[in-house]
Amino acid sequence: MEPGYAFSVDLDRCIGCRACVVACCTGNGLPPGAAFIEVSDLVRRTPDGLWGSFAHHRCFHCGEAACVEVCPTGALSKWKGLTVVAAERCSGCGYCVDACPFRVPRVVDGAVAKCVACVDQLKEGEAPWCQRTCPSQAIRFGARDAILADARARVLRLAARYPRAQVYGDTQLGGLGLVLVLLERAEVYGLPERPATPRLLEAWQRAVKPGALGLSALAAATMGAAFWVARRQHAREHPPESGPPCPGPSGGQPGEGP
Amino acid sequence: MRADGVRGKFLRGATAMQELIEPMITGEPYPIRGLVLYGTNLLHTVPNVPRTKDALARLDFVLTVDVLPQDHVAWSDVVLPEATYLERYDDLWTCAHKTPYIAMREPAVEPLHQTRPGWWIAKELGHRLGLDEFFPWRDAEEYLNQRLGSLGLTLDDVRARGGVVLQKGKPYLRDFEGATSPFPTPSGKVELFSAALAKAGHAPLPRYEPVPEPPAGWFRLLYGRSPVHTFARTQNVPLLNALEAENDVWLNDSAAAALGVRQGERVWLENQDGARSGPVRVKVTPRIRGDCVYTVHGFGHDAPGLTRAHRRGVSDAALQTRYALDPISGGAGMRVNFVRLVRGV
Repeated sequence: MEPGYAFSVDLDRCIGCRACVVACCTGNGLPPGAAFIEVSDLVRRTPDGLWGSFAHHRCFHCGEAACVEVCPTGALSKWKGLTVVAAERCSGCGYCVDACPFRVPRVVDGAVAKCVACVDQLKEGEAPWCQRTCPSQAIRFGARDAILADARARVLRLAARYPRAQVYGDTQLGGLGLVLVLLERAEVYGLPERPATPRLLEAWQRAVKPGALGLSALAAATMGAAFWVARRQHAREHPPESGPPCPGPSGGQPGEGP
Repeated sequence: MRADGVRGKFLRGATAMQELIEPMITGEPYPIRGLVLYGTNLLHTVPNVPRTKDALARLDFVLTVDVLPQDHVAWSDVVLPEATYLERYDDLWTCAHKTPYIAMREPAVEPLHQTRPGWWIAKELGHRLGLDEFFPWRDAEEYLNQRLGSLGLTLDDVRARGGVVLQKGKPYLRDFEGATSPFPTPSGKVELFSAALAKAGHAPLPRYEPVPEPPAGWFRLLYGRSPVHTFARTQNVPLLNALEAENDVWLNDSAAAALGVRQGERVWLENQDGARSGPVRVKVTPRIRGDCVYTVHGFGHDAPGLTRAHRRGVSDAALQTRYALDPISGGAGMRVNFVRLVRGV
């Protein structure tokens, strides 16, 4: 995988304030409640007493991104390790919703809604909104190598307090672009130890997508042949006449508003 | 003599705000006829809400300056709506702890509607009351420049430094060697055993005094904070309301099973004096003792102008009809109320 960016969330540092959720809304111009980040409380009763942490549900920016694989319009693509969104190209088909191993993307108002990695901010030399807002520096962002090294160092330091602390995302699905510092096993956070591309996606890749491409090609060929036949017929019935050319379908200037 | 008893019947303390309500009703130690409320969320901050409403009804005049149509605003004779903190200058914020700093606040946008900054309201009221001499400045910028001038700074200097001027702190006692100790105690140190308190007739060491336990079927009402909301003033903010529109009442899982109460069920809370608040969602959790319930402070607003927060959740303040007083500071201990769950209302 080409070296790129990554986020990390350190659940030892997270205080559950949800400032990242608010920053995601305001920074990306989303209405209240429509943020690309969800933070929820986790509480468990253990033999040692009560245990608590926070679960961050947001795009993992998979190295091998199932959503990008299934996206038929190119609305989802990879850019410097991140899974980025071109919402204007989205047809709202929802294939990514079904393909995501983490159930992250949603379709809202006919277009995909998920973390856009604040690409507009990155291109201006700024960090993503969630990272800039986090008051406890639980969220980090930067070159993936450095983010991963930092996460591993954190886990080593946490080992005495949390013997099952672990880095999540170093190898899964080609290496995730969101690395988590977990205080417990992944399943405690509702995360699959070995996330897998859904069977549906494999079926799509092996059969439906090539099949669909074949069908598309067949349809295009059929239409092309029909057009050729129709035009030949038309030319036979209406021989060319001299005279002014037909006006185009639109008479206005390009770019003219209503 | 102060009506709240601080430095009278209480030895120490800043303000015993809840002790100001009784004098408004009894006229002792002296009559209080009017009230100007600024930066005070009266019906959520002060315990014993029925008593506060009684006092407000008896006053000749109540003036409220507030940003939001909070619950107490409806009890005012005159309301002066203030611009929000993004629309006004405020006084300098100075902090003297480990890293001392001076911070400024300036308007990012013009005030909306007919709201005015607090400094403008104060100065104009002063002018109309013939108190111009107490406001010897034209506007907030002149006032702030005057204050900063004593440090050789201007507003522009503070702006150029990002709005905050940091100073090097003196966090260690050795920083004060050869100078006056920062602790105003006879020893000049933190005193665990206080001879001064003993002399004034108080226990020189903090002493645990047993508190009454709730009777069977009743729970001690505890309250606290969520990291999303600030006091009782942010529940109506759209972005924060979307995250936490209402509070829950936390109920121990074993206690819930004994009562047959389910997760997410809506109940009312009724306290030992018959005060009720709700309805509120039950959160069944092992995170609380079986003889207590807990809720996040600041919900259960009555004011219809708070359109999103109106009647969402339970108000802890409404259920705190009694409180305990710290005899030294006059501080109120409000976790002394017992509530029961009322279902099917």
